[in-house]
Amino acid sequence: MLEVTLLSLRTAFVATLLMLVPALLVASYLARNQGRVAFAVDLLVSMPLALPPVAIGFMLLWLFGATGPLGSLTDGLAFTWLAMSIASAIVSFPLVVRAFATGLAEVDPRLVFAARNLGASWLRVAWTVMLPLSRRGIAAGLLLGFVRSFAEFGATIVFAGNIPGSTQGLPSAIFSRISAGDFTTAWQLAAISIVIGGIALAVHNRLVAKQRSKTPERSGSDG
Amino acid sequence: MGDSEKVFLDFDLRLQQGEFVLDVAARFSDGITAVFGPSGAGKTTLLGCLSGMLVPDQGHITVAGQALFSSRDRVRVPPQCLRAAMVFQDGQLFPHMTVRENVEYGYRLTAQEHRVIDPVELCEFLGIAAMLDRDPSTLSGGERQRVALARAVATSPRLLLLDEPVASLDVRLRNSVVAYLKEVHERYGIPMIYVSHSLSDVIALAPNALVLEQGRVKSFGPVMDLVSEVTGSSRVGSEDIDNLFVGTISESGAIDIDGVEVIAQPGGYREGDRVAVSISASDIVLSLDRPHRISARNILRGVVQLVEIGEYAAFAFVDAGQEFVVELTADAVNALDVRAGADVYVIFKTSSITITAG
Repeated sequence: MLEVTLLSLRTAFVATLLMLVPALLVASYLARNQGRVAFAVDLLVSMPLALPPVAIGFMLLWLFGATGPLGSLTDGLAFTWLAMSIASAIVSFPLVVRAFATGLAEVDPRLVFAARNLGASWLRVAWTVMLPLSRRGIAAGLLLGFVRSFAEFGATIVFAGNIPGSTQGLPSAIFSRISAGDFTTAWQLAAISIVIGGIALAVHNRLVAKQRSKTPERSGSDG
Repeated sequence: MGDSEKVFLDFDLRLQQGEFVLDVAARFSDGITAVFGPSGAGKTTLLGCLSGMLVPDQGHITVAGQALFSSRDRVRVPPQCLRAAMVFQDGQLFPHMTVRENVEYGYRLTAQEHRVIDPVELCEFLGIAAMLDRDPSTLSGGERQRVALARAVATSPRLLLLDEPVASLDVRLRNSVVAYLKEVHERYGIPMIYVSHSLSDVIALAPNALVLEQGRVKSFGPVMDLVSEVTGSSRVGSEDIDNLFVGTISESGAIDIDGVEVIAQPGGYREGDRVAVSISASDIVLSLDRPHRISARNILRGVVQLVEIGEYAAFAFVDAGQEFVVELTADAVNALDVRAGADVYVIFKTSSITITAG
């Protein structure tokens, strides 16, 4: 029981790390751009919200499978613990991007410009102004990504399988216990999920509440 | 701008934003130039172009002979390399940094060879040295704007862009910040563009003003012409014109404004304190003879530089060690025969002086 819990925690942690940089890039792009390209990017990264996770796992399996387009580059990626993290990351990605974009959009663009005007490059503005000022939104997004990854089942079981001791995390262990009729263990594992997921979600909600209360009113400026 | 002055900034810009079109061209000297006009005239849009925040549809911007933008030659220097530091209306201090970190933000990004202004001395000069460890949210409006000014000036910029930096302050603080701006220009010699819709600030600061209206240049020339334009209208009286200075409290309790001693009642201030001083143009009396047995404590000898007479009021600009603007009636100008070159005495009461720390 400890083994599957630790594996799920590690999977969720790695998935969160994998999402961090791409989600920041996409979110900062979406926070500052409107138009057709932004619309298409938004649609693309949001698709996992609309798709059955099983379908995502199936597509990943095709993409990274031995005969798939990326198969030769990523030899034997499927059915590994890393595959679990990748599957979880893709399913959770839209949630993280949305949370990041909300956080970044709250940074006053005039502060961003002030930093540019004082000689800072885009990268430096991102690091010294945008990230610190949206840190609650970023932290909230990371926690949401962690929670969702921790709970991921559909895409993971297709792409990474359900191999005890290797790719069997908490959700797939519950599935196996139910299939085997071992309801006691299934309940115990579900209880662990409730505790860990509940704590992470509570912290996330606190962050979001603080972020809202801290958002200052924007004052208008003359044209 | 007169022919004798060197062209520092030369621009010719066109930018369409929805219904609004900015279409302006002018040449500024390396002094302080005001950009004046009503809300929506395009003042902020012009500053946006000059600071690189907005990209004009066509035209050029040349500073000290270097093209910063040119649609024809496809030149566009990115905003972080323009060295045109901006001071915003409400400061836009970084809320997650201390005052010190704010002031040092741009200084650290300034190339070694461009660093000519020492931030420590600058903070002393602007009277913010004691608040460096504070959080920007604890500052008063006047303090905040002086920190914003320090943050911009610490980058040793080539050009200082001031976007209504005092518009959100009350009159007292406004005068104090304007007085500091004047001092910064005198001390560091940085060319400034001062955007404002207040005639009072413009008169106190800038010899020349570009007047914008609906995105176009309405007039460009000496601020004094602007005064006559305004004095010729019924708008006079709606706005007080103030004389603004920064001085130091002397041993005797008087205020020393770069050598001009002004007697005031500086209650609460100690010797050596730097203060902003404002005297309304309408509180000053001109006399051709040195008055004797008069209650007013301040009698300064000066020479009239220029007299502007309008239909409703007249203004005399007097050099009495510092330049004073004196509001008179047209009758008084005629009766005394006040004209440029005349020796006069500038007289004002101690109680006409407003002192602010900022």
